Amino acid sequence: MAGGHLMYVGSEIGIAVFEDVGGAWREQRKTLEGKRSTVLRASDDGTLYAAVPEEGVYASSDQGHTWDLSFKGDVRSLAIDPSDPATVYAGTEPIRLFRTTDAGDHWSELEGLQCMPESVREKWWFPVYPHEGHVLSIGIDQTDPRILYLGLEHGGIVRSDDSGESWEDISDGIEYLDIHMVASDPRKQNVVYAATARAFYRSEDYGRDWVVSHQGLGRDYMHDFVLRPGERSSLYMTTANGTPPAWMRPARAEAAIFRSDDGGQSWSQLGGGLPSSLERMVWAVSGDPVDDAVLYAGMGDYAPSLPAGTPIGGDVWGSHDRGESWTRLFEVEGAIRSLCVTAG
Amino acid sequence: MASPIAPWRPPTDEELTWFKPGGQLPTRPTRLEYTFQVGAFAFGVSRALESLYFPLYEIRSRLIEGELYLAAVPSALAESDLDAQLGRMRDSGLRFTRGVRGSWERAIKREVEEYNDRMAGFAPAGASDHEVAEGLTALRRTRANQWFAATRAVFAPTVMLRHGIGETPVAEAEEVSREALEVIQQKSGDLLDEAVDRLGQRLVKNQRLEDTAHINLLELGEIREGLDPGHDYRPEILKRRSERVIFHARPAPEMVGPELPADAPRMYLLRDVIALIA
Repeated sequence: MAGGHLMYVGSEIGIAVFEDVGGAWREQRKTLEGKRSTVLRASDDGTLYAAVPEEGVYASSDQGHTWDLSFKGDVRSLAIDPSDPATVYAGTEPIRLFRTTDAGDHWSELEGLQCMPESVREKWWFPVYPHEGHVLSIGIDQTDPRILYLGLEHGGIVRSDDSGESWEDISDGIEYLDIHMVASDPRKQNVVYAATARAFYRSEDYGRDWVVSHQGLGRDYMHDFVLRPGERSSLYMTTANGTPPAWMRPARAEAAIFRSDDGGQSWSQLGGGLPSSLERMVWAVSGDPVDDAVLYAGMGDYAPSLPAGTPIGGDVWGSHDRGESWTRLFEVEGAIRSLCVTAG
Repeated sequence: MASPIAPWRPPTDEELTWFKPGGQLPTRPTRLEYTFQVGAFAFGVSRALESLYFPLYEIRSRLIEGELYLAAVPSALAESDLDAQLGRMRDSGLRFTRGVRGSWERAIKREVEEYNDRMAGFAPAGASDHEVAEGLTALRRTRANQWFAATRAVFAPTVMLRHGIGETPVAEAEEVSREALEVIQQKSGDLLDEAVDRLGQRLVKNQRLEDTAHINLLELGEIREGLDPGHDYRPEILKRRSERVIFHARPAPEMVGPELPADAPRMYLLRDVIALIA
């Protein structure tokens, strides 16, 4: 793996910071202890953002040594504008969207989202009490950052072409509206991908029509994916078999990582040292900031599926060859929910 | 599995097979019952069954000649690999069929009763029309969540256990189902009726309805949209009172639509669930 990098590993109990020392990852310190950090994002200006549900957005400008609570709210998603590192979006439960244009000093709500018709808003819901949907994913178009996609859990996908002022529901074609991630292809603006709790979908017309794509996918629960450029542009996606309640079975999540080299039209499961069926869920996958062939995957226990009193843990795996082979890098306390790797 | 090339679309009403639910759902619901109680029932039960991997997309409701029908809408995803779907149904059933009584008593009963409190607190005398309008949408969602929570944790698992899926003794689950039904159908049903009655009285007092019972001739959306601007509903009510007589004069068949095989995936255990709760 690349030397001098820092890896921020967000779990149910805080963030562990690891440093790459000569190819070996060493834990440097713990930070934001006791905070459930489900999303981590690093901007080009060096600011690190952490979403902590029911609390808000924490921001750090010194590699996570100190943090400020930049925004208060039940934040479930974060995205940084690729054209302006000071512009950050935060999605919450209930479904609302906020933006800062000064790296977190001030936030304002994009109220147009609340102006969507009742027929759309009545789909915003969640199976867990208090049954409020949330914004789980924010996708910003790499070519035109005015185009935003929100993945709603549950509620479908909505798109804005004017930086969040107005919105359109673009969920047609998607059967089960539990959206985990949505993103457009950086090379083909019209191609958009969506990972849901029941299938993977792709659209070739900016999300207007979605077609399920499961050739080679041996799982139905799609969680996180990352697009990696390079000579062979690829999608890497984390999956499981069934939604979390099904993970009570002895084989637990039956998680796996799949890769697509043709823009999400077909998939192959990655092995090379990675077990074919993982008990822990692969909650996060991240690319390397320098080397497109390098990948990291963060796994975590799903506590309700374990006997009471069992220690909850997670582990990080790495691949240096586009997922062909994998090595278990280290274990952490707490179920990993997010990863972020920055160049040293 | 082969990838379809066209985007999936839910079937239209005309493509579905419609059946009468029977039980305690109203045979000939009023406009308000249909858009409020029946809508909440269909939403809550649909979400519960899909979350348990029942092989259907949703339960849809429809009025035909004024009578209530339900239909199971097929799921393309479920039917693309039915064995896998049913395997996941068994797996997710492990959580929900394990200790039905414990789940009911520890969490679901409390949740259902909290919703009862919200129903009892709907449309207090001091609330503004705007607040009542907002509350009306929330009230339907509250009722839907009540159906969702109990169907996912109690009613559907009871049916699954009757068919050998899961771990709790079926007798225990059936006993919990009876308790849950008593709360949701009786107590919550009464509270909802009282909430609607309070709304009707409010509209009569403000001279926007002639009679409290006339509220049943309005749809939920109409009431909500008309509340804040102070809409007078009486002219529309006058028209609809005559329409209602025509509704009641016509009979309707048991099933409507294309014939559906008895083993159609979308119907798997569905009639049993409906028979238990409706």
